[in-house]
Amino acid sequence: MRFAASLWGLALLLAQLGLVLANQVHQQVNDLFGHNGSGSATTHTNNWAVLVCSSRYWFNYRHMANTLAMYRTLKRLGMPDSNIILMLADDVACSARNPFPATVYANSGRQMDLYGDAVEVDYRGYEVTVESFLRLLTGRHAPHTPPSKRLLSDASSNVFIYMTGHGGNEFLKFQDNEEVSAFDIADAIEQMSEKRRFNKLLFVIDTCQANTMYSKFYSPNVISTGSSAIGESSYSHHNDVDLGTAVIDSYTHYILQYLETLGKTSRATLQDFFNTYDPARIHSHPGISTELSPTQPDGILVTDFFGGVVSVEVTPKADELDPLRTAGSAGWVSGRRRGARGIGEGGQSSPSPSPMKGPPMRRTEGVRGWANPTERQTEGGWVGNAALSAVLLGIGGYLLIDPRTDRPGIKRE
Amino acid sequence: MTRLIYLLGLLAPWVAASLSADEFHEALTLHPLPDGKLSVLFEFTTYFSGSTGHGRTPESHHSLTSPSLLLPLQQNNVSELSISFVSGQWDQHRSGQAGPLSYGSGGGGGETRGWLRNSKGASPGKVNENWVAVTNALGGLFCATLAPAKEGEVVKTFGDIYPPSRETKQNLTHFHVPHPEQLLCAENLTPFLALLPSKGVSGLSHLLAQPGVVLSWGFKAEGIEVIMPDPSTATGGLWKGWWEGVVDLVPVTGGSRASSIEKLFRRSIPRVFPEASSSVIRLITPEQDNFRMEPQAGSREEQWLDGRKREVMVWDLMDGGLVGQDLRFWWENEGDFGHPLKLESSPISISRRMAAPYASDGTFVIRITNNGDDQRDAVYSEVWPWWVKGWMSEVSAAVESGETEGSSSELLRHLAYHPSYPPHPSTTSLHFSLTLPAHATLILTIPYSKLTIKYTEHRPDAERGVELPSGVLTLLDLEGESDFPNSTVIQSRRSGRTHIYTTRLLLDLPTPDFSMPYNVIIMSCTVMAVFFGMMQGALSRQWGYVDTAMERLRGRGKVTEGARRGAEMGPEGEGDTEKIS
Amino acid sequence: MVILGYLWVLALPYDGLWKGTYIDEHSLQPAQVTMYWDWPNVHKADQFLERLEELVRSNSTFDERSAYLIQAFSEAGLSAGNTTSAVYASVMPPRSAGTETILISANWVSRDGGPNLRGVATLLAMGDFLRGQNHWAFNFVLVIGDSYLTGLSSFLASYHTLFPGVIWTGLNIDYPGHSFSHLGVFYEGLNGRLPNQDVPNTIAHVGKWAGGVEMRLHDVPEEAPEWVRSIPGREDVRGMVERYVVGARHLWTHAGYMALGRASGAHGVMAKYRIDSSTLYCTPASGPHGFHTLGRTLESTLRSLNNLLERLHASYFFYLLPSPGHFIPVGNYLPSSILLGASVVIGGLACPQPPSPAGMLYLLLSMGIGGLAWIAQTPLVSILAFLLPRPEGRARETVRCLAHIGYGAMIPTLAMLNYPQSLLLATVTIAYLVPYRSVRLVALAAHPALVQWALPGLRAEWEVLGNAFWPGVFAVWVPLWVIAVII
Repeated sequence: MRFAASLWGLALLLAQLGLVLANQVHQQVNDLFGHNGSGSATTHTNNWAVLVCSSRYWFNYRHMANTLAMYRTLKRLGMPDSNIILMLADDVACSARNPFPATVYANSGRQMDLYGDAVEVDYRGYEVTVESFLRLLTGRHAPHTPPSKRLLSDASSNVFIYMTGHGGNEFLKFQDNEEVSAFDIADAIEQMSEKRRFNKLLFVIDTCQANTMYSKFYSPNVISTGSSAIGESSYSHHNDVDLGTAVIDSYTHYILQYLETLGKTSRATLQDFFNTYDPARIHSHPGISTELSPTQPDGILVTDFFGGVVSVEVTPKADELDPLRTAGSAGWVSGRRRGARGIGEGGQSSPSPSPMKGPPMRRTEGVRGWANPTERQTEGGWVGNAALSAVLLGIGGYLLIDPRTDRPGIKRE
Repeated sequence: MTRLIYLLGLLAPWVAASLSADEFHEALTLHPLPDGKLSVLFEFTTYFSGSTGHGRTPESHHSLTSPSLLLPLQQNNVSELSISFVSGQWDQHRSGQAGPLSYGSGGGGGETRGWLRNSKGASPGKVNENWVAVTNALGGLFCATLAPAKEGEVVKTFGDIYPPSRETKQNLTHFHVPHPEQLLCAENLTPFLALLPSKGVSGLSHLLAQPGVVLSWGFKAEGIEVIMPDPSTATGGLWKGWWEGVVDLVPVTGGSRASSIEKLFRRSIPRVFPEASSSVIRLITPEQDNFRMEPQAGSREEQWLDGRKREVMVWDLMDGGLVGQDLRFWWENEGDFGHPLKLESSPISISRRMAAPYASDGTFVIRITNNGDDQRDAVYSEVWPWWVKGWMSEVSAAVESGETEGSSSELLRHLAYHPSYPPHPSTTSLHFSLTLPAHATLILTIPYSKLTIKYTEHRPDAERGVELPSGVLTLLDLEGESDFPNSTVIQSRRSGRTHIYTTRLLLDLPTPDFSMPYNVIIMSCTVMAVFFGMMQGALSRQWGYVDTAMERLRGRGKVTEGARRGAEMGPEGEGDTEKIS
Repeated sequence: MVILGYLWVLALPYDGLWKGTYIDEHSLQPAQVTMYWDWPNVHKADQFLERLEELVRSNSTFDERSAYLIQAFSEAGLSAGNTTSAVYASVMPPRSAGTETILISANWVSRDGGPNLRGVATLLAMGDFLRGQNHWAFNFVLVIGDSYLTGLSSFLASYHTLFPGVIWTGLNIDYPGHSFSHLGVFYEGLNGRLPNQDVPNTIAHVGKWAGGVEMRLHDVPEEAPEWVRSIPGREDVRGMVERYVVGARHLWTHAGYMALGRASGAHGVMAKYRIDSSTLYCTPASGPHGFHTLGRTLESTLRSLNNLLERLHASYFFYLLPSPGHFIPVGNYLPSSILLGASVVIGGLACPQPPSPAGMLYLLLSMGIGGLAWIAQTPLVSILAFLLPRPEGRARETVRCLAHIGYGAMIPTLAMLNYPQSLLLATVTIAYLVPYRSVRLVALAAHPALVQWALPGLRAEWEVLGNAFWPGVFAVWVPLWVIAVII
């Protein structure tokens, strides 16, 4: 009997602890992720990217270079390979025609190799078709499709889609023999929206008459931008005489120049990004469509799409938990000041992210200014939690300790 | 008491690790070829044990083998699996070798083959599904297309060509999927390195982890072969990965052939991978007297290599003495390398060509040259897509120049022909059992026709054509390369090279005018619109005069049907079609 | 209508009907890439040339020559061999897959008739140059055929027993003189087959921008001859006349090859195998260009051809090139031939129904005479036509109108394949079938035997190379002559 009672008490105690804990954690999580500047209720916890190069053949080297340049930027800003779906319709890096094997360059000086040592191409060659692209977006795959070929995003993912190739008025050519129309992509994105496969979606496209490709979208939370308006062509930027082809397109070249200035912790917004568009230099009129998004570009950070930045809380050594035996006292949250810190300062210029080495860094300067508001709010919530815990503790303790609970048939120990 | 339990809990993984006893061996083999090229082969072999759990859930503990490789194989009941990527062309004539040093490399392009166990009580289709699942999983791992694009692309008749190395064929089914259009690139090298325990950071894999260097080589081959542990006999498993390339030591005519590890890899000998059980560099010395090496080899072996006894110098890297140093070799007193004018071909060489390649048909001509002193037995196999139809009645095997007698039936003993049956397009495979007479060239001619494929079935680059997978010659009378003193076995049979491959062929397909469907649609729609419009107008329209007085009356609803018939119909005014009683 | 047709033909050299050329296959990207051929390679070519000159001076046999060539190729690191009348070498670049091949040839005898020594020397140096380079996706087969065309032709017949690769494009080098001032592109193939227009266009583009040499079509200079330039009158009118004359010369040279189905260069024998190819002919001169320019032009052209991932299919296969930078598309020249053909057909529309059997018999007889002439291998057999009784009345009408309809239908059909040849056929048909007897008698003097007398090589071309013009004379021309006589 007493054993049963003690079990009940223990359960209640744990429940109380759980409640308190959950309350605390919920509060903290809310505060942590609610401070991405948007203030909206739904926020993102992970980023996905789909990079598509839809043209084949050696002379479309620049389209592969476009896509790989985006790939490099994403990896540099922290997105892991497992979250990037890279579709390249042809292989130019190892093509026998490439005088610099296993490399792809985006500029004629050949300063930076985009292919690198750790590239993972998920769809290559003949696998890049309209069907596989639409299946990827809608998630309707053939059975046994490996996870590296699936877009496993969820309702709190920000998805970045980048497409490049040859296109026209409301169509994009795949592999020079089939086309995907703007309506098809719009419908696929609507399916994604209905299946809650993204929180926000950024659609960037660099083709001729690119702006027509997103003109048919009708799903919420989609921001789109394209390289050229209807009737305009998107031009290649420059040639490399040793390769014998153009190496990058104008639009992607200029947006890359801008993205290279950002780091993992940059606070630049999409509006800043769009503000860098210069039709005179790009030689076409890039378009922006934000009418489907309740949040305006000035409220969305670039790293919300481009980085692998997940809100991470780094606690200083002093805040480390005590071992398990002190957990029973009045809440192990008491007296602990939780300050949130940023991951690190500035951007890293290595092409691929290196794993964190060594202990988490301590920074006393508040990068995001999270420290104070968080503490204040946690402290505010304390009082209520303390009262509740006292009451429950009392009840639990009574049940545990009081010997007078007597049931027939059960002997006292 | 609790403390003891804790202690044991801590020890358990250690114990398990020592029980599983994964072993990792790595080797780099350098083989200078006669025409100024060098064949470089990396081999990484890991031995791992089988599952150790006794409960309902089998457990596998591996310390050096990645689960991303083993789990799909375990889940799908794979007994053996081999994947290979081959890029470039192997010159049998100039290199004197019938193929690369890695005997497991397949024909050109990508190739997957394996033996799967038929699980008891499962439906017969289950093993096919397992094959699709495992090729998809490994295709995702290697960033390559390994799975059959359509179900019909799987070839199941190559079981005798690639027999299982361990188990009997009793409960096993063989699958073979060639992908001759596959390319080898850095994205295939990255997962290969990731599967290795040394991950390209230390050991010989550190030399390999430079895509810019290794992918600039000529002929390249990458592959893995996994032999899963056998549950019935409790033997362990083995997985072997290889990477081979051929470097041209003298790209510009006039230059020295001398080379070194640093010259090839731009890195000196890396530090040892601590978990390796053995790590060696081997150099197969050419049969020239003036070949020199530095530093001196740790040991010298004599080894049979593909029918010839070769001297192999071995440097052991495990003691770390060579870390940071360079290994150089050169030919003494040879200034500038001059290409030899006479080259010795390999003992058995094979080539496949298309004679008379017209749009709709042609002839495959396969020449197999046996330079040896004795007769050989072999099987020549080919895989064709469903639209290549061979004229089996016209197949002929003859000896060139007719010196050696041998009627066609003696040369071609048997033909196993597995055609593609309509309506489901699958592959056609052929296996010719041949006798190769000594010092002769056997010429096998197979006339074929190309069937028409639907215009939707063409590839995006339809004007290019479609690659035909390599043909494979399997030698049946080999004795392996172990050395038996005082053996009476014929020298040319002392080889481990069971399979010799031909090059791929590009078959032109007659392509339709792909713009025609669009043109036809446009023209027929126009014709229909014009025709129907005209017909409709002709049948339902009448021309006539309109009496304006009648119009006014009609508007007041006083006009009868008969009067209205004379009125003009069309976009005349409102309410023309009002029915008036 | 006939007049209209001929007027249209005469209007073709007028540049209003022309369009500027463009490279349709985007992969080619001509003249975009740096070239590595330089003076050391030129030096090697000079060394080869010395040895080749010795060989020619000593009147070497084919065996001696091929032994030397095989040795030269083998020293450069290439596998070489020979057939009965050609020497070949195979370049296998390191990363090439071996499934596709480009063929480069330089035969012993140039189209001028003299030895093509510098062409062969260029090929030897090019083989040495290409061997170790790592940026080629095609294999190369270098062929040195004996004499002008026949060596290469026999090599091509046995190519597929020697190599597994598919050949999509080919180039032939013809460099007879010491230096050259212009680079001429010859593109007509045997039986009037033209390569894909991208090939001559690429060569012209590359030669101009990468090679820095003035390009020509055939050997026709771009400047109008003196007598045209000295015509008095206004500048712009004279300019137009000059351009017209130059265009007319180009088209006349082109028609000269095409109408007779002859190849204008050794590349012509490749056309039968669906290989798009042209000859680069170096106009002999004491001019500024030599191995260096030719090598660079060749290398850049090969780099463009190297970019191909598919057979050439984008550009036109039927065209007229009146100038290196312009072409006349099918739609602009075909109607003239249709008009001519239609005029002939209309002339025969008043056919008696049903056709008289005697008339049909006469037609068969005329074809029979053609067959007899073929057996005798001389068109003079057609004189037998004079011995035939003349058909009367309905039979005559039948013969006349069926001949009109038949040949009238044949003209536009032929025009789709070989426009100049169809023009020749149209002219002959119209002349023979003219309703005025006196004119016809004059026309009949142009007997097909004249062809045999003027161009004795045609028969040999048929037997050796397969030029279908010779049998065409017997199948088409002789019966027409007979019909024209008996009507």
